[in-house]
Amino acid sequence: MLKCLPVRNFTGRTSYLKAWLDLDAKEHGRYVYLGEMPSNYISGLAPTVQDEVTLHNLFPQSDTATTILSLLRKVGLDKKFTSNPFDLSGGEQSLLIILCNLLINSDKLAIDATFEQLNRKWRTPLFDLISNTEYDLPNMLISDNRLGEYNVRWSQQEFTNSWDGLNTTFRDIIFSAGNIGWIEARALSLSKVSFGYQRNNLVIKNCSYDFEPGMIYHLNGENGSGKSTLSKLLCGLYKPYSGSFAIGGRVVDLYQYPGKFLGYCFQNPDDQLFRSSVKKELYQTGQGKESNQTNIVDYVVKLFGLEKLMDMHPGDLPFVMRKRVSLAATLCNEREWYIFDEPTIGQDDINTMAICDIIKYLAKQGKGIILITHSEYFINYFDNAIQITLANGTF
Amino acid sequence: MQIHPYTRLAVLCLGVTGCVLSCNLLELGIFELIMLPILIGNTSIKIVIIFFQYAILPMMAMFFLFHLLTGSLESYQYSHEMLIVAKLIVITTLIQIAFIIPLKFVHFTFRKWGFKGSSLMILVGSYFVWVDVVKRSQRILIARFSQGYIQNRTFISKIRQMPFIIIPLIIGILRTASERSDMWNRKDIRSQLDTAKFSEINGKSLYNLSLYTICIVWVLYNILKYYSV
Repeated sequence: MLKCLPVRNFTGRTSYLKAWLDLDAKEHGRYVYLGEMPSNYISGLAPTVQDEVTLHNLFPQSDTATTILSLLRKVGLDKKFTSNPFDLSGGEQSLLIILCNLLINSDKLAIDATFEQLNRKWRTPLFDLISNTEYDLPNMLISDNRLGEYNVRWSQQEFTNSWDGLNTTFRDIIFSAGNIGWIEARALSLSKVSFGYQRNNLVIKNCSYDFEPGMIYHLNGENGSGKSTLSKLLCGLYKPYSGSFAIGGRVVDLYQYPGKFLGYCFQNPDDQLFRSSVKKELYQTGQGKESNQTNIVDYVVKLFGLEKLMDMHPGDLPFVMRKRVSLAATLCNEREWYIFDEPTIGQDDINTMAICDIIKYLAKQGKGIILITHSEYFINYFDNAIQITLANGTF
Repeated sequence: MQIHPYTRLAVLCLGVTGCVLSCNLLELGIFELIMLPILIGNTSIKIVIIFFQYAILPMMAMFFLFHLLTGSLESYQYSHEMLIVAKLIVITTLIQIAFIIPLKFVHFTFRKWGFKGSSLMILVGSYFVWVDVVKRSQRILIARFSQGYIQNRTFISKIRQMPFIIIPLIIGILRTASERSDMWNRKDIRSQLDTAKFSEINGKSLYNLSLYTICIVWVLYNILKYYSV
């Protein structure tokens, strides 16, 4: 049975996992920690996925290596062998780093919420592999907020230490917003939109859809199906090859006005937070409704429990807080529509529920919401979420 | 057609020696014409043009401008100055052939050059850091676009973002460097870099043998000519 660490945020679990690794660390052993954001754990010494795998494949002839590589092919990651590892989607990167670190046959492997970005189709064979005692795999300790969602038998690691200095629930504060005066969203439409990172390889193909304001849309699809790419197109970060967007019935070139109509909360907060303090991240000078911003920031700071962290550098915060700051920053820069890409990564069930309530509240205020998540529990909290499945680059 | 690491070294050492000894503008020109397609094949014509535009052309202009302003550019010196410029162009071409390595052959090339252990890891890491710098600065720019900080996509607006990109870029790179070095230690990547089987290049291919031959002929010709004079 796999050993797991079922604890809440801010209980010191990351420190515990790292301490568990260091406990027996010898000079020539391999003691690997994998965290929430896979891009931080790619070696940076390999230009392609194939080289990354080669770099970690310590015993190429072993049965374990053969099984791991066959799993890699089974899920289709071998088709990305010539890609740069940093160009893969979040889910693909997660799978790659987990498989690579199984290949390297470390003495101990701590996995901290790395599974959260994987879809069910990939999780199942991966858990089958790591639960199988026949293979020569490292001694693993897994901490994850979605343990209940994975169909695996866990043996719990005893863990009683608790540090709740930052533990806060923000559910009660949500409806204390008062009269903020949110901007109401207008309908958002896509018409035959196509896009690819290379001309001959389209990721989004001829997509058309009408999004209605005040609704919550769940954009789902397999890892690497183009969900984040579509979101970035909607945000105006990429220029579509063909097709058009319309806001409130009027055709708008979103690429010329990036971030004006849609607020995008990145999957990885490290892709979003680049300013020197939390305060600067929240008090932005974008194209928002500036006069209203102080009210919104005050509210959002209370909502996410960021009062004591305002002068801190976002990079010095733990991942859970960085994710919260990125959510808060997206809300502070008020837009008609919000896209939340894996908003609950690294968040425990209490925080997940709170984020769910915030999203419901925003939808009630007339905002349009597009959610991207692989958490089935999270999406089940929304009774009326409209499911949109992206497969082979189209709806 | 890939250049073997030993061929790269041969091109650099023999080619540069021949250039230093050569005093004939026409011969340098012919050698450059032979080497230029090899350089283009090694990288891309776009990179070659960019390098010429932003490095070699300004260097040449500065060189002539300096002599014009100081009044030292007499007619009898003109051919001498041209010779120096031609040598610089050929040497920069040879340096580019030697050190612009396709990313998938970086490990193989440095290993063949005799680097191993920590030095190999540092070299490979520093080679790939440029890819990281480009990707990271794009990420920062995209983040700023997504927040609506940049009102439009004109060239001027992008230039105005430079101060906002540079600071987080440096901080991010330093942070990543520290995290990665810790990770490499924990995984013992150093020993794996020495032994893992990466993409290799056949040094006995016709292409590589031809390059050897050209460089040997070039250096021998110039040595003979230099000492016969």
